[in-house]
Amino acid sequence: MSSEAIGEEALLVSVFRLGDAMFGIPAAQIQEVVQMGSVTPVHHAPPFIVGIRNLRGRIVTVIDLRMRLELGEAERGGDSRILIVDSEGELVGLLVDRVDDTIFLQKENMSPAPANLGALQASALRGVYRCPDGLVTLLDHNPILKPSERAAGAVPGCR
Amino acid sequence: MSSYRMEHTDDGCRLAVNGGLTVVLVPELQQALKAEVEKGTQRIIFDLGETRMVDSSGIGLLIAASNTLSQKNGKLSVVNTSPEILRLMQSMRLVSRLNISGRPAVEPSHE
Amino acid sequence: MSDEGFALDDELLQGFITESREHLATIEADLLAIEQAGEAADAELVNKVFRAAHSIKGCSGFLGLNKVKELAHKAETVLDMLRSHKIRPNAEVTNVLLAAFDKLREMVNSPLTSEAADTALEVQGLVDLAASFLPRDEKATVTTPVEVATPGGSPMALSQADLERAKRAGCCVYALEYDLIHDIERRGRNVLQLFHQLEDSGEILDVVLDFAAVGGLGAEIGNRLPLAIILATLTVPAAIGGLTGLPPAQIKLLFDASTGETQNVWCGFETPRIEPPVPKAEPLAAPPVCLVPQESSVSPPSTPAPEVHAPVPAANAVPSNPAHPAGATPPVAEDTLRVNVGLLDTLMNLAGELVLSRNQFQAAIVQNNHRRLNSAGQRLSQVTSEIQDAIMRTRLQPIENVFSKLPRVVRDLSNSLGKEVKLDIRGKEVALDRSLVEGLSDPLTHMVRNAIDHGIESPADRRRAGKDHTGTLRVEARHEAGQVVIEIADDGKGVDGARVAQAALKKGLITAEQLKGMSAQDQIALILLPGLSTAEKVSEVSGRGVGMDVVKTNLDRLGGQLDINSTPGQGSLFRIKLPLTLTIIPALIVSAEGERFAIPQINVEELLRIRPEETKSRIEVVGETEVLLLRDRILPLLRLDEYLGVVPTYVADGNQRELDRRVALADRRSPHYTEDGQPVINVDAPRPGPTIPRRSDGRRGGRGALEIAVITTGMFQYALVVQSFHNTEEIVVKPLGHHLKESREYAGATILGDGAVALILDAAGLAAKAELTSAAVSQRAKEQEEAEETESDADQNSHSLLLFRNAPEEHCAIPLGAVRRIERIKPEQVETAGGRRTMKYRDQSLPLVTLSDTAQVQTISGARDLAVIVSNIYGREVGLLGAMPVDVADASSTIDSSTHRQKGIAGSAILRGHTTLIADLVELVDAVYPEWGTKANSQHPVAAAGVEQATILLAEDSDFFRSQLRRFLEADGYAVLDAADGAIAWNLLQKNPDKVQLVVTDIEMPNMNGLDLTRHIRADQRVSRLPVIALSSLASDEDMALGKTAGVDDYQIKLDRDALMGRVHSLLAATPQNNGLTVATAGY
Repeated sequence: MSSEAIGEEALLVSVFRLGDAMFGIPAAQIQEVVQMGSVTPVHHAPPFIVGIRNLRGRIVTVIDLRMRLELGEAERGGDSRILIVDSEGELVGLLVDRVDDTIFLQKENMSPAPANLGALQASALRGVYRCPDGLVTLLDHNPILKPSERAAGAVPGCR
Repeated sequence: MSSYRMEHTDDGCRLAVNGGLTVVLVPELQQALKAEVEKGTQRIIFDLGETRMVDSSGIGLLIAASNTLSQKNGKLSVVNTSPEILRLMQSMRLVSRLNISGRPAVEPSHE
Repeated sequence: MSDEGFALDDELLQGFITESREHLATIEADLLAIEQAGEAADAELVNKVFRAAHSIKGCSGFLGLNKVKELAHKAETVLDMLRSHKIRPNAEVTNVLLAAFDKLREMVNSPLTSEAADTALEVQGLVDLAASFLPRDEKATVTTPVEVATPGGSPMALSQADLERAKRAGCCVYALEYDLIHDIERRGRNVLQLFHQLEDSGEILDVVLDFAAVGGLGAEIGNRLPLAIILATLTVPAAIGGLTGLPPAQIKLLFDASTGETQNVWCGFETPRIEPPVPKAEPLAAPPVCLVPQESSVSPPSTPAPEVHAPVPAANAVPSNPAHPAGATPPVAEDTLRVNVGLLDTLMNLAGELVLSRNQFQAAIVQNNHRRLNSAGQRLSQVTSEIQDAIMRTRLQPIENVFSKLPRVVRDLSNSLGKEVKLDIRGKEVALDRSLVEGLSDPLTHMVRNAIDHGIESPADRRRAGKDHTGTLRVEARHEAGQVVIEIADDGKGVDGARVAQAALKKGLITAEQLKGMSAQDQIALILLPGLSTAEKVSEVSGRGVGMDVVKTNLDRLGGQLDINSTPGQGSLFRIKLPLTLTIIPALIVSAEGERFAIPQINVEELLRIRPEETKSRIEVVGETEVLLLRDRILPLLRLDEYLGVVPTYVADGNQRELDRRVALADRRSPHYTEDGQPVINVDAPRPGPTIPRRSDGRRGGRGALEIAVITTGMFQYALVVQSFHNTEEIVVKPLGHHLKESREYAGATILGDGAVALILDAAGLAAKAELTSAAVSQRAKEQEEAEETESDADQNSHSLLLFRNAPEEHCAIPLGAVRRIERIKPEQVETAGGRRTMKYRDQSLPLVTLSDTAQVQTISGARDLAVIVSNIYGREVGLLGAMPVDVADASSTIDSSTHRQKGIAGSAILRGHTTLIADLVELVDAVYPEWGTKANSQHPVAAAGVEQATILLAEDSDFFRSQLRRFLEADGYAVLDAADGAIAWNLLQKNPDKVQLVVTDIEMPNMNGLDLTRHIRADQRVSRLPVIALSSLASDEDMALGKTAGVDDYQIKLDRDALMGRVHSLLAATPQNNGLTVATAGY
C-alpha cells in the first residue's frame, strides 16, 4: 500500500511527534484520531501494548508507538493522541505524544533514512523529509504491527 | 402419638408441637392456650419444628388463637414451619396474618 | 418475613402477577385505539379492557393487595360507564385511565411495596371522572358502599354502582361462602382457578377471606375458613348450586333479578356459627382494609357541577415511565419468554438428530473407523450448529415489543408541546435478540423524544416553512446483510451542523483547529458529544442533561453503530445498525488491583470468604505454591492481584530478557515497592518460555478477609483470590486483537455498563500462565490418563461375571450370560436324596449342583442364607448352589485357565483383590447328572444323521472363553478351528474356505475385531454366505444394529451355552452346505 503512495509527487501525511521527533503516516491510512480516553491495561502483555480501549463498542488494542520504535516511551500527557489505523483487517491504535498538522510531503525534499537504524526501524521508516517545521520521517506502520515477525528477518519495502 | 410441650420464656409462651397439629391434639391445646391468655400471656409462639402435618382443626386453632390474642393486643407467631406446611399456609393467605416463618436454611459448608 | 408476608416463591402470587401482566400488556394500545375511535369504539375492545380491570380486582382482593384492588375497582367502574356509553372516550378520559393503569402496572410489578403505594391521585381521578358523568342523583353511587356483612365483620367492597350494573344486566347477585379448607384446598383446587371458573359465568364483585369468622379460643373452634364471594351472574337460583358446587346453606341470594327483590343485604351467612360474631367495635386483627372511600370525599350532590369533564390531574402531563420506587425492593423480574411452537418442534427434531449423531459417533469410535469418525463428526458438528442457531432464535423477540411504547410517548409529548405528529411505524415484526430489544428501549425512546422536541416544528412554524402542519415521524426496522437497521426519520427542521459546532466550540468540547477539518457530516455528529445541548433551555421533557451521548454509549454496549444524516430545514435521519447475534455469556465481575475483570460463570464453581483468623489454618504453602484447604480437597491458590502486579520479565523478540517497563513508569498499582519507594525488581532467575515467575515475598497473612473464587477449567480446579466480588452480569464477549494472541490468560474483553472495559479471564490460560500446574494437579492428570487407558484396555476384554461365595473365604464366579435367575434360600430348603440335592422350586423340583460336588473346595456350611443361581443346561433348569453375598462385576483382567483348573472349575482370575474361581456349570452338571448330556447329544442332528462333522471357525481372544466355547462345540460333535484373534481367524478361513460352515466370533479383539472379520467374510465371494454368530458382553441396541449392518446373523451374549448351541444348530440346518452334506432338519 505505502509503496504505491511513495513515489508520487506529493503525499498527504498526518504529522505527529514521538518525543521531539516528527513522524508522518499517510493520511489516507489513518481512520481517525482520538484522545487517550480510558485505556485498560493488559497485564503481562508485551510492554509496548498500552492496553485496550473502547472505540464505539469495539475493542481496540493500543500500542505505544514510541516504545515499539525503540525511541523510549510515550509521554501519556495531555496532548497524547491515538491514531486508529487498519492492521490486517483489524483496527489498532497507535499512541503518540502529539498530533500536528496534516501536510504534503514533497518527494524532492526526501533523503533516505539513515543507515545505522535497528532492524525494526529500518523496516518501517521510509525516508526523511525536510519540511518547514523540521524533519519529518515517513512511517509505514504495517511492519511494526506484525507482532510475530522477527525484526532481523523483515524485508522492508515491497508489499 | 402427637404431643406438645409448653415452656415459658422471656418472649412469651412457646408451644412446640410434635407430630401432628390435628383434631386429636387441638382440644387439649385450645384449653391450654385459653388458660394462658386468661393468665395474661400476650405472646404465643407455635414452634412447628417437629410438626409433620396440620389439618383443618389445627388451622382453625391457629386462627382462633390469633384472633383472640389480637383482641388483647397480643401477638401470635408460628416458627420453624416445614416447607410443605408453609406452602399450604401461603395458599390460604395465612402467612402474614399468623406471622408464619419457615425453617432456617442449612448453613452452607463454606466458611 | 416482610410485613406483607409475600414470599417470592408464592405460587398464587406469581400466578396473579403473570396473569395481570398479560392483561396489562396491551391495555395502553387498547385505550389509545378506543380514544382514536371515539364513539365508534369497538365494544368488544372496551369490554376487554373492562375485564382486565375486573380480573385484577378480583384476585388482588383475595391476595390482600388492597390498594391494587381499590384502584382496579375504580377503573372498572369508569370502564363500565364507557361500555355503556355513559362516558365518551376523549383525551381526558383516556389520560385518567392511562394514569390509573400505569399505576396498576407499577404495583403489580412490585407487589411487596404496592400496599405502601400512594394511589390517592389516581383513585380520585377515577372517582371524579365517574361522578362527573353521572346524573346528579346518581353521583354518589360510585362511592356509596353497600354493606354486605360477613359474620366476622370483614367488610366487603361493593358500591351502589356495582349493584346497579348487575341489576341492569339482569343478573342475580349471590353471596357465596366457600370454605377455603374444605371446598378448595381439600379438593386440590386453587383459588385462582375458582375465580376463573366463576368469572366465566358472571362477575365477581368482591372477595374476602373471613378470618374473624373462625372465632377465638373462647368456645368451640370452627375448622372452616370462610372465603366470601359476591357474585353477579345470569345463572338462576335453581342452577347456582350446580355452578358453584356449594350446598344451599352456603349460598345466599342477595338480589333476585326475576322478582327485583333485594334481599336483606345486611346479611350474614346462614351456616350456624358457634360463637357470636365479634362485635365490630373491637379492633380485630386488622383485616385487609377495604378502601371504600368515606362519604366525605364525594362532592355532595348539591354542588352545581357543570357537566364538564373532570379536570385532568395537572401534574400528570406526561406520566414518566414507571421506575422503581426509590430505594424499594426491585420489581419482580420477567424471567420467562414466549417461544413459537414451531421453533420448539424444530428444537425437538434437532435434539433427536443430535442423539442419532452421537450414537453414530460413538459407534465409529468403538469401531475405530476413521472414515466413519470423520463423517459422524461432521454430522455432529452440523447438528450442533443448527441447534445453536435454533436456540438463538428462541431469544429473538419482535422489535414490536419496543416499538409498542412509542405511540404513547409520541402522543403525550406532542400534546404537551402543542405539536402535531404522525407516527409511522414499520417493520414491527423484525426480530432481535432479547437483550438487544431490552437495551434498545431507552435509546429509541430518547431519540423519538428528541425528534419531537428538537426536530419537528410547531404547526405554525411548519406552515410558515411551507410544510404540512402535521409532522411525520417514521420509525422503521429492517434486516440488511446480517444486521438489523433501525431508522428514526423526521421531516422537521433538521440538525444545523454549524450551530452544533459553534456550541461545541463554545463549551470547549472541540478546538477551532478541529472544527476547520470537519465536514458537515462531522459537525452534525458532534451532537453525540457529552455535555452538549443546543436547545436554549434544556427542555423538561427530553433534555435534563441526558444527551445523545448516553444513547451512543448504550448502543455501543450492544455493538451497534449510529449514523446521523440531516438536512437543515428538511429533516433528520438517525440510523442504528446492530449485529444480529451476539455472544453473550453470564459472568461474575470481580476486581483486583483496582481493576475489574469478568470470569465466565461456567468457570466459577463457588465463592468463598475466608476470615482473617482462618487464613492460617486454611492456607498452606507447599513447595513454592500456596494451597487452599477446601473441605476434602486441596486447591492451588492464585492471588490475582499478585499475578497482575508482579514485575514480569518476558521474552522479547530476539530471545532477550527484558524488564516490563511499566514499573519504570511507576505503575502505582503495583504493591511491589519497598519502604523507601524503590521498585522491587526481580530480574535474576531467567526462566525459559512465556511464563511468569511467582514471587514469594513472605507478605502472607494479615491481609484481612480473603475473597476467593473457586475456578474450574473442567480439567482441574484452583482457588483465585480477588479483591472483591461484584455481581453477575450478562456480558457481550468481544475478541481481543491479534497482538494479544499470546495473552492466553484473557479470553476477550467486554464493555461494562458504565462504558469501562473489563478483561475476561480465561480460567485455563490463567492457570497456565501462573504456572499453577502443581505437582498435585499433574499427578491428578496422570491418574486420569491412566484411568482412561485402563478403561480402553478393559473394553477389549471385559466380561460380566456374577460373583458369589462357596465357603466364606472362597470367592467364586460364573459368567453372567449363563445366569437366568438368582434365588435366595435357607439351607433347610435343600433336600438331599440319593446323593443328589434338589429343592422345591415353582411347584417343581430343581436339581442342584455345587462346586464341592466335583472340585476340591470346601463345602458350604454355616451360611445363613444360600444363593441358588438358576441356569439352563441341556435344556433343563439347574441351580448352582453357593453362599451369599452375591454381586456382579465387570472383569477386565485375564482369566487364567490353567492354575486352578479342575473339574467344575474352568479357571480363575484376580477380582477385587481376591483369587476368584470361575465355575464351569456344564462340567458340574455332567458330573452330577451325566445322563442329561448324553440324552441331549443323542438328539444332535449331526450325530443322528451320521454325516460328516461340520467345522466351525471360532474367533475369541480370551483363552478362557475360547476353551469353553471349544468344548461346547466339540461336545456337540462339531470340529473347531479356533483363533485368538480376528486376523488369525481370517487367515485360517482363507486357507480353508470350503471346510468352514459357520463362524462364531467375539467382537472385541485386538488386531481385527469381529465386525471387521464379518465384513471381510461378506465381501469375499467364496465365503460370503457363511452364517456368522457374534458373541459379546456389550449388547446394546446400537451394537446389535451395527452387527446386523456388518452382516452378522445373530448376536449372542457370553456365555449362554444353550442359546448359543441352539443357534448354531439352527443356522447350520438352515444353510445349504457347500460340500453337499445333507443335514437333517430335526434339531433344536
